[in-house]
Amino acid sequence: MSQIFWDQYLDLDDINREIIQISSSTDERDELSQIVDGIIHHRLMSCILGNLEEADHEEFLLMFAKAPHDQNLTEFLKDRIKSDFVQLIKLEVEKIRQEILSFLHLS
Amino acid sequence: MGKSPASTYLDKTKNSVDEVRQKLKLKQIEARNNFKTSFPKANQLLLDKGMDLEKVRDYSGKLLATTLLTGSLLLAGPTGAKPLPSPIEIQEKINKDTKDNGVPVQKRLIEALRDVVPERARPLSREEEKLLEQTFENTMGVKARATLEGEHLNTTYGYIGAEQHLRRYPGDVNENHNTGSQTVLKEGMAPGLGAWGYFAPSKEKLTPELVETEKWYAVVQTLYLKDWARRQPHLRNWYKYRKVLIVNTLNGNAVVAAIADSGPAAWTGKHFGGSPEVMEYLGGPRYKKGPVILFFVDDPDNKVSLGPVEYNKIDANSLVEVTNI
Repeated sequence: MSQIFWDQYLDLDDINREIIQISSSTDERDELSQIVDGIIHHRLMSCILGNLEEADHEEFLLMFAKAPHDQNLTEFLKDRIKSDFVQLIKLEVEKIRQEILSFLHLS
Repeated sequence: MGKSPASTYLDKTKNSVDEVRQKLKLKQIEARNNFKTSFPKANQLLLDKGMDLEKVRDYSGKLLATTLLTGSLLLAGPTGAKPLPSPIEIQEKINKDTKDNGVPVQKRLIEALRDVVPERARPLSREEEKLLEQTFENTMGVKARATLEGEHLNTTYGYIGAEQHLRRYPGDVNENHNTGSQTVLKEGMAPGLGAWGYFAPSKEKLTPELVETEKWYAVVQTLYLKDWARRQPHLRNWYKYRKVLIVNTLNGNAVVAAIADSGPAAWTGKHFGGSPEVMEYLGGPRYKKGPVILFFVDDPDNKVSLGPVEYNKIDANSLVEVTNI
């Protein structure tokens, strides 16, 4: 199930493996996972709003607040964002991956 | 006096975790501040709606639980427009082809699943879940339920990913998990313990039942359950080694597994995990990820064995008659 409509574009398994590797307990693993989750949500929302016309912000946010899982949000964004929405999200996810992996590899 | 190799390792690991946590937290603060500064109106609008982006998964989980409960979830997808077949229609179809034409039950089940299960993983409606519960019980003989004793996972239809072996007792090593399959050994041993720790305090106390539990274990996202923290220790005890039926929706392979760890993180694109043995049975030696249905097994007398559900071996004449549904 996608709890958030952008979950379908998230495939950060390598970060998960690194977190599992360094965590000494399930609680620690879950705590780090939740921090990563928070980073992803803020970054992806900023990415979306940064590419969406300001006039469309409210309509999108009201839809999002009503049902964050709704796949119609993807269709809405594909329609309203001039560039390739899926590609934009994938690029942002890739940036997040690189940044987080750099921490994990340096540790 | 110098530290022992073991304590040096532990200190190093601890430092690494603390360092990573600190860096991740700084990144999190930076992402949050950038959002607030760049989009103050959006931030305020979401707050007015009671949504904190950091906790958006909790927010969404609560919304989904409510909408599923009231049956008001709008379901898009291949089954959205078309009415679902009835359990009788499905069973009639399976029985007819199996008894009259000798078509394996599994082949017919896969076709039946195509009429019920949406192409892309999404929350199933209560109606869809009930239909699948009856279909599985009638074809496989396993009483499986999406909701058991009031408990329901955030999803019953999602992607399962490959997990590693879990350490069953202190000193357990990968080679001890040898069951003759190289694929199963190749996955290796998870660096940490499962969510419920060791299965036994020592090798001597590892019973054959616990060997089976680790061999056929499943991972579910208890960390995202809306009441997980509030309803402790009840939920933790309830989920420990709870039996689940996992059905690969693409090939119909099914296995009964025991929940022995929590995860995977939502941002991995997966919703469940399976032990090397579970994954090999569900999809073969190279199977790493795929769509599955996962229901709790209703087994108060502990009569259902863990492991493969080989329902193709079921005598066609013993299939449930439609009049009995």
